[in-house]
Amino acid sequence: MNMDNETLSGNVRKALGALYLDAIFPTRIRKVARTLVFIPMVLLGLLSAISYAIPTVPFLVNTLPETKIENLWHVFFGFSGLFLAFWLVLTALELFYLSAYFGGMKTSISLKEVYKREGGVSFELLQLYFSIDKNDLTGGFINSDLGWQIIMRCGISKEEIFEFLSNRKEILPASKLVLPEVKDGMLLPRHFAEALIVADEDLRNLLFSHGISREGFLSATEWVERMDRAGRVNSRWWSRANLGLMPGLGKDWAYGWTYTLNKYGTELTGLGKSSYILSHSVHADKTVKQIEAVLAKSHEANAFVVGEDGVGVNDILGLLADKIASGKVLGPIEHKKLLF
Amino acid sequence: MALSTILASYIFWHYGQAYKDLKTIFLNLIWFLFHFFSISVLLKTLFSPWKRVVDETYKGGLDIEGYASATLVNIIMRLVGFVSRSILILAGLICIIFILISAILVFIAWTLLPGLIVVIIGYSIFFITA
Repeated sequence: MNMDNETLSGNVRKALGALYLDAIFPTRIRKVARTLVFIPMVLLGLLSAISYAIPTVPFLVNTLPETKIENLWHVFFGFSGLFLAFWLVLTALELFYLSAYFGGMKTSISLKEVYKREGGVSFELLQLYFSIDKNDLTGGFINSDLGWQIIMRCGISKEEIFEFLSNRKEILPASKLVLPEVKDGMLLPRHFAEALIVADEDLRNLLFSHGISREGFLSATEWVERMDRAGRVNSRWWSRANLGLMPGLGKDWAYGWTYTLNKYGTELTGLGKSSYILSHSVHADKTVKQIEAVLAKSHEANAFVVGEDGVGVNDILGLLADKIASGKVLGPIEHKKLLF
Repeated sequence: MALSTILASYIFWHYGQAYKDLKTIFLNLIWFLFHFFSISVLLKTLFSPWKRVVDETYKGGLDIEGYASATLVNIIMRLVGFVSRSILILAGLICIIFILISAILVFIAWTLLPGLIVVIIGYSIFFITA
């Protein structure tokens, strides 16, 4: 057993409970199960309360047709309790999994912070390594959820992949795994993918035959893992990063009304006029973030947005105005107005 | 093997790391309430006039009526600001106290959770068959 394989296996052992849980009872199924248990729990609870209340409210007794529902309140109550017990079990298991996934419910400010945990191994990589065949790392990687998404992202068809998997000259076992050195941050699936592409000549040839460079493959890996993690990070409603996005009350009570500015200018904040396409553009989002960062400075907070006619400069401002209106901006420019 | 590993890891987490996790979540919620009710901003501007509405017509000199009128308007605006801010601060503090009490209850319930689930199932069966 080489050192890298040992490092990964050691970390897998530490998170074995959560890894087994996710293998037997995957995240998607857990989510559906919790919803399926929660809905009847609430409905039966309500039904129980209503049926219990019917005989005690004269108005209901007189108006409702005679049924035996009022005698069944304890049955509804009992079933609601059973669903509650299941829901508590599922919720506790979910918290257990999330705690393992995020390395505790730490207060992470951004996605970058999550990635920067020194010396660790990301849970995604542990999941990947746990699930794959240790005698065939490349095959296991490609057949995993993450690996499959990366291959699809690279634009390689299913048929070509199946052909590749069955016609390989050499199979890469875990004992030959050499992970790249990671100076800051933790080991991620992209480092594993890098190790594969370095060690597996067949994989390199396959990618090369599709015009995909090593960097292209690693970028695709990075993209898939970033998307996966971003979704999970956004679901952490309890994190300061997510809670802090909710606009505060009464912050503008110390500011006055702007009669003169409003008389000679048009207020963009709150109009919601930025274009749909632009509001979903990564480039526009980046520009808005840059402007936001400049305007949030305590000194020399001036931003020039320069561009040819029709390139959407006004839309950039509209996007910033929408962001301010929704409160999802940096603290210093919260509740500020944008006039045009 | 898998189920026993899940159970052992879960119990180890439930009575160990989970308390730290719950503490983090509640500290985040308290931090959020301070932010949401803008308690620090409102305290800093507690006596400022409401929306900066002040009477600026009095320009100095011997104009007792103008002076009195401006002073009265300014005092009223500061009072309005003070009362509205105090109400919001009070609402925020009530929410924070509510969260603190909830945190204590959740910590107790979390400790008793395995037993609590068994009791809920037992009572539920009792109610169904009653």
